[in-house]
Amino acid sequence: MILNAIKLDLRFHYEHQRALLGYLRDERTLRRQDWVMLSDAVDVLGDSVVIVDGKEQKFRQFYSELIDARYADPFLARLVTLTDAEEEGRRAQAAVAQEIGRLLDGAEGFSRDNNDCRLLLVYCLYWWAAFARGYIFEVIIFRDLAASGLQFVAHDLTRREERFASYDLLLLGLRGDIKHTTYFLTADRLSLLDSDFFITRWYIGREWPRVAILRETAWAVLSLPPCDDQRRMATLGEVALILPGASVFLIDSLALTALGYDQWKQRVLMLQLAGDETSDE
Amino acid sequence: MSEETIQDLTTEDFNQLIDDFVAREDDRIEPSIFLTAMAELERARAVREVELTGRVVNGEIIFDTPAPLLVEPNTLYVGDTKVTLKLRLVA
Repeated sequence: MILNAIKLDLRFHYEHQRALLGYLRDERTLRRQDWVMLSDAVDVLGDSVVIVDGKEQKFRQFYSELIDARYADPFLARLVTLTDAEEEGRRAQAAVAQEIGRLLDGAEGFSRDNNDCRLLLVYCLYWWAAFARGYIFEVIIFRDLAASGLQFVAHDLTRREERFASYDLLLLGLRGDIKHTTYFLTADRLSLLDSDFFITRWYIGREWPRVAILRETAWAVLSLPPCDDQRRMATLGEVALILPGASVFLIDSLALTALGYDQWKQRVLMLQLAGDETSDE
Repeated sequence: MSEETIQDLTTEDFNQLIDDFVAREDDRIEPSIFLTAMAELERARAVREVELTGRVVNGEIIFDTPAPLLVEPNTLYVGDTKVTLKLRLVA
């Protein structure tokens, strides 16, 4: 592979570089405006151009064609066979990240002394981490749901076409997505998702408790006596204080309910068992 | 956050930064901070309307280029989202 040139998007500037370095070093040091800058930096880098073997493509296309196409399916095929998806999955994720580094290092014209090349590597590793962490969490949740006795239909993430399905699982007739972080909870991203509920993690202090986030359609199915509609209105900051209890918060004008994952599972189980009894009669 | 950028790092420091990032667990950020930041970003973002034109050739949608978004046959990219079009013909 010959890396002929990199043309950073002209919108990429000093503050972007600063936010990226701050994030890579320690994301906890980022202030609110730094997160805005980081998000913009990743977007702008995605629009930057790399010319490889004479072919001009944007960073995001380069990632899709060279990194995702080469590493994603083998990683997932291995991930689903691991006994400890979390620990072994993280090691597999890190091994692929090292491999991505070696792949770029091996390209003629690539040098870690060059800032543009560094940014291409950072872009690829940023998205690889997001991809791998997301699927590790998904496998962990699928296994936990099965171990808890919930009935659900999950997409087969080793099949590429199923991986790109618009939802990850079906349960009680509701479509669900498993999200490794709450980054999807923005009005823009939610507008692209049509799932009824999401399983995610809500960072509080030094912990990441698992949380179910429900649209009103899903809450209507899950609200059961005696806990019918026991929800408190909350700001985003207050959700963490109420968890694992249920709270309603707004993203733009969209009402969402946050509920502890274990509490959500109990409600689902109750409904599924009640449904089984009804069908047995 | 320091005033340094990735460019300012020695190659050795950059390699160490990458090694540490690869080994790092997950992003430690409280949703209220991140999501408030993103809400600000979304509000500040101007509404942009673009028009994609193209033709259907052998069942594939071929967009006219240059296009205002990155496009491929049956595919377009909007921000970090790859949109793959799978349309059905209905008589």
